[in-house]
Amino acid sequence: MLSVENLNGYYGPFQVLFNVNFKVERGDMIAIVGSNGAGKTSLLKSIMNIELRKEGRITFEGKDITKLPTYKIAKLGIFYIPDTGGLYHGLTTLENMQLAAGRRTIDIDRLKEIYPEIDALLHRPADKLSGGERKIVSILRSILVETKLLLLDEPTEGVSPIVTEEIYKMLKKLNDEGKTIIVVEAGSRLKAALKYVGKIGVMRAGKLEYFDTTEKALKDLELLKKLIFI
Amino acid sequence: MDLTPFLTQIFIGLYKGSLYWILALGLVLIFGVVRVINFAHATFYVTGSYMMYTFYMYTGNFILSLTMATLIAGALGVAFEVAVIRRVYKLETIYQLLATFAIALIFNEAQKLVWGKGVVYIPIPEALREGVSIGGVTLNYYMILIMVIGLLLFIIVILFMNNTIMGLRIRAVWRDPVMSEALGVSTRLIYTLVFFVGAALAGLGGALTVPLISVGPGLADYLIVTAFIVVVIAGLGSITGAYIISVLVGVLSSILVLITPELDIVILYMIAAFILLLRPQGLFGER
Amino acid sequence: MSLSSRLKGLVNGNTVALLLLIAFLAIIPLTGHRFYMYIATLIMIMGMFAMGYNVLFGYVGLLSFGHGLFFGAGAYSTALFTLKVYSDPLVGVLITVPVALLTSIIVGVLTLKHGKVYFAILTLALSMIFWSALVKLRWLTGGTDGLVGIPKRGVFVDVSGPIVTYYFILAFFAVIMLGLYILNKSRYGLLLRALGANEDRLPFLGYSTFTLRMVALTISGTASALAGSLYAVFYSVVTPDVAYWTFGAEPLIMTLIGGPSYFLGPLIGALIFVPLTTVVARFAEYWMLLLGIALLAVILFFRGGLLGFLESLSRELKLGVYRRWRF
Repeated sequence: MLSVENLNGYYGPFQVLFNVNFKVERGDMIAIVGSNGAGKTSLLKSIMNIELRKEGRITFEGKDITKLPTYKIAKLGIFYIPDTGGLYHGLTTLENMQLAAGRRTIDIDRLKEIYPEIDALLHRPADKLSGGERKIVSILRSILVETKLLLLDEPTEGVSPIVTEEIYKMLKKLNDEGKTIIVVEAGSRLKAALKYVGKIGVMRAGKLEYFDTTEKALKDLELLKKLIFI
Repeated sequence: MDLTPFLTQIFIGLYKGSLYWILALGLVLIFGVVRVINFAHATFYVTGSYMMYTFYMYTGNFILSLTMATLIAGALGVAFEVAVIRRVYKLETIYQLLATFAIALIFNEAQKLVWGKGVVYIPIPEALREGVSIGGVTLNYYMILIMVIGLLLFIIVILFMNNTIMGLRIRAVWRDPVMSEALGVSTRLIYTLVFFVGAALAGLGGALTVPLISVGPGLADYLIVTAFIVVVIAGLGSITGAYIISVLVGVLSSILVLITPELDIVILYMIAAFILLLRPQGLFGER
Repeated sequence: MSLSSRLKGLVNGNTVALLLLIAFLAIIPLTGHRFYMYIATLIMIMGMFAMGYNVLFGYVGLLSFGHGLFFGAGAYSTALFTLKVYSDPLVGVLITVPVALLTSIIVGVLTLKHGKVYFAILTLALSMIFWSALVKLRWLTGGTDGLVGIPKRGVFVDVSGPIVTYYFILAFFAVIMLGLYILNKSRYGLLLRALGANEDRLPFLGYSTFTLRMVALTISGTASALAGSLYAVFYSVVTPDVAYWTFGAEPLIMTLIGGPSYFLGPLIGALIFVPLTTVVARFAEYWMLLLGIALLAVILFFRGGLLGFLESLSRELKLGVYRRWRF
């Protein structure tokens, strides 16, 4: 569904991604882990064509999206959630939802299926939500549009272990419904992610050093830990 | 003490303030959404004036001339955005300022070339020359029309921004263009649209000015500075603030003309400087 | 640092070019050609204005649209002082220094605290206030007619002959260029450029952004005011035009033409701009239009200015000469 070939990424004169290659199949749920500065965020941004200058080729459902403007990539069904959640401060939760939905009407019942307590949040400004609530709302926005591929940048950063579980269960539910999901996570979240995802990637210093199924990864656990924490 | 002169000046201030507002509105929108300080903004205004004059000279039709002036100014705004501004979005702020500045210079001179160094004006439409008398001062319908247009624009913009999807998208791009793109909003389209609206509004204001004030070279320079003062005092990015401050500046400057004809502008600017010293973010700005 | 290496540091492309230029300017009156002298005088005055301007623009990265205010303040303080207080051109020029310091501090307090965008807007607004005050305060400034008959013959100096005027201006030009050159080489110059390159780092190093910007503004304002003052002495007339924003934009245009990241960039810009506009203005009434178009072209396509273009050319040809012309 998504294929990244020979991807090099640059911030100004600094190269941050080195020859990254991987393929994502429809229905995959993938976690890419790595320490700070390993290039995880840059990888997601380069898929969305945000800020970075890049070389290489990225295709989505057979279509070359390397040079497409961000909004067109979004319209193809790739939904990107930055580590901040990307909610607009000053706008209410509902307005934030409407923004994602565009002219579509918001199906509140559908939102409740995934997150029953949504009602209480709808009319609060996004900056008045707790960290966990913000992460959840930002994920909920993706189900208002025909999302095929969901890209999440550290969706559990700064939230409690309980909420982390809640978020991963939510993502699993979306995955079971057929959405393909890529999560990037700090190395310390490796364990939490392993329980839910089908494939694991490890990034270090701008390179994708490891990419395989979770089954295989569990056998290579020592290697993974070395890759992440050195 | 006879208060009639004061009342007259207040009325003049109200319509002048409405014209400042129409100019400042575009400036605020363009700055808020596109993040570009548009030094060329008043030249769109003056373009509106000259277009109004030219079309009126040929057709004698007020409404038609007004429409054409507005649309041409808007089209010019789009051309400006596409040909120049798009190339400088990614550069330092300084180069964006410089590009709009160069455009202001070019427009100013080109207008002198086409319409000469003298002033132009057209008569107030016959139907609007009559007026109502308030407190012994006659206020003609044309001035009232301008005040009404100003107020209507304010209401429309606020309703549009708060109640439509497009308004929501514009507010979103205002706050975070990158995230808006990720949500499938074309910022490029919105930038062009905002430039069209801003320039067209300026053109409308300029066109409405010609029957009241003779328009000539130098007007744009004076206006852009006044509009900047309004926007800076209001707080860059505050639409409501821009409306209130525009009207206040209009009224205050008219009254100052009466009190100290020599130093009206100077005193006004000094008040502005003082406010800015106390509240750098402007009266309505957030920080 | 040893004396010889210190000398080596001083002798580079800029020193040689500057000395050659001053020597060249010094022999121009020997030609006896009035028009050349006229052009050369304007180059010196506008060159000073632009070099002063660039301390703010090229070093610190602040864009001022209101430098006509400083130039005008210099011109009018000299005119008023020599006409109403003490009739001497030398004292008249020197008196602009305290005036410029005071003006810079007032302008700085009002404009420097709010970021680069506000700075551009506010300097424009302040210069328009100043300009309208010059126009409106007729009893003091003569309104749009300006002030005429600024004396060239004084108690200390008499610069009434064209050649004397020329060398009088050249002397100031040389002193200011030397001052700016020393600034450029000094620790302060380095700090100011560091501020332009990376404003958020300096507070950590113990320098206040505001203070450094104020220093740059003061130096820039003083150089500009001195240029204005010499302009008043040269023409014997000042009008509010010198404080108008289009005039205040001229040093900016010259700087952009020459190249803002080069010490001599603004001066090179003046060398091109002044003769061109003086000649072109004679047969094309609307030369400002051409100027605007040229400015836009520079901004869009040649942001390094002429020197930047030469540098990239020399890099293409692997000459490596022009690098030394940078600050």
